[in-house]
Amino acid sequence: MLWEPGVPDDSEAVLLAHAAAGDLEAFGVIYRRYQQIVYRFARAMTGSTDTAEDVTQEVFIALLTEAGRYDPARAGLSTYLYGIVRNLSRARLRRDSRRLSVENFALGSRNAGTDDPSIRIEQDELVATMRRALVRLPSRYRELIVLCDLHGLSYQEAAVVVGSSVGAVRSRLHRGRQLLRLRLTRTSRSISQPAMAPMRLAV
Amino acid sequence: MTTGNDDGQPRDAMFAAAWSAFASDDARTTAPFALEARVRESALAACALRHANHRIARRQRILVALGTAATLVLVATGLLARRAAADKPPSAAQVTTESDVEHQVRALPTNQEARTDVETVPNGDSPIRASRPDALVTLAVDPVRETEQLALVLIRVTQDALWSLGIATNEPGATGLVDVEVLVGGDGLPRDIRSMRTVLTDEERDSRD
Repeated sequence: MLWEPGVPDDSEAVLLAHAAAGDLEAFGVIYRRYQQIVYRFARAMTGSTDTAEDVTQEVFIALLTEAGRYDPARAGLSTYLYGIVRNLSRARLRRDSRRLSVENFALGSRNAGTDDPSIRIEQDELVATMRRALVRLPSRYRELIVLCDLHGLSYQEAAVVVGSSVGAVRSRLHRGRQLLRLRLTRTSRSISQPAMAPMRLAV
Repeated sequence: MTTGNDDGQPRDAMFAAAWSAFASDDARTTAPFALEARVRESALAACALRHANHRIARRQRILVALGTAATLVLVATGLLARRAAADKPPSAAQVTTESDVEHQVRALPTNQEARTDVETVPNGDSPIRASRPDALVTLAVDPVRETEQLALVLIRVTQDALWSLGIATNEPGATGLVDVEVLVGGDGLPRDIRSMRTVLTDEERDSRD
């Protein structure tokens, strides 16, 4: 297994083996390749940028220290990482379930799609509303909506990540979408509430 | 929603607009740049910790292997030494016949008073050693009897005192003295009796003569 910096080697298993052997260059390649999906999934699952950063860090350290547990024949590295993010996020949510989050991570984010301030504010509010509704969903629904509808995983891939059957994934996803629409409707009624209002995350 | 999994997809416009804005915002999200440095530092620390653990584990394995090897060597050496001692024939200095013993026995006092002290028959500076096959009576069985060093001790006791050695005399009520050659082990306990002789008074000796 040979891998050199700058050479587009592509085998994730090779990269991971080098990273596990202490090659930080290979580790950096893996990080840059997968940091976005890891961070996005963690952020959607925990509803907090700070917690998402912590979870992202823990995920990559776990990947480095327990590289031997990854089996390329079973799933791709991204699927494996999704699984780690899911487990760590759920553990973090369980631990923090009695705490109140006061973070508003949507308003003022990267809404660069338009120059019109009024449209931008409206879009920011929509994003905040949707994110608020999403984080209030039970995590068994939220994780599937994020994986399938945001990250574009197939039912089979999502089933591997959450450790369920495809049928269960399909059923749960359907139920989650219904709940999300219901929650969004409720939330939109109170959209004029202050954005910094405390909210309790669903675990 | 953005995938082909379109069953149960919300249809109302408000939801669609919110979802679209949310998905666009989420797709542009990346981890902060500072996080990469944090993760890299953590990775370095994790690698250093793992290497340290490997070194400690390797040293422990080496120490265990050395200890095991030393134990095996000691056990093997002990077994070999024990076997060599068992196979070694008694040396000439240690084998003495009864006549030699008698020759070296110094003159015993002839008084009738029972003696309770024990005399070791001298052979130079060391006590006389005797081989076990000459035993008259075997008093004790010892697991190391084949290899232990025995001392020949000449004692003068009354015939009644032989009971303490488990020996009965033929003469009921006999109170005369006897000279007994006893083989004594390294622990001071009697092993065998080489010989027993009645101590004759001068009158008895004269009458026999």
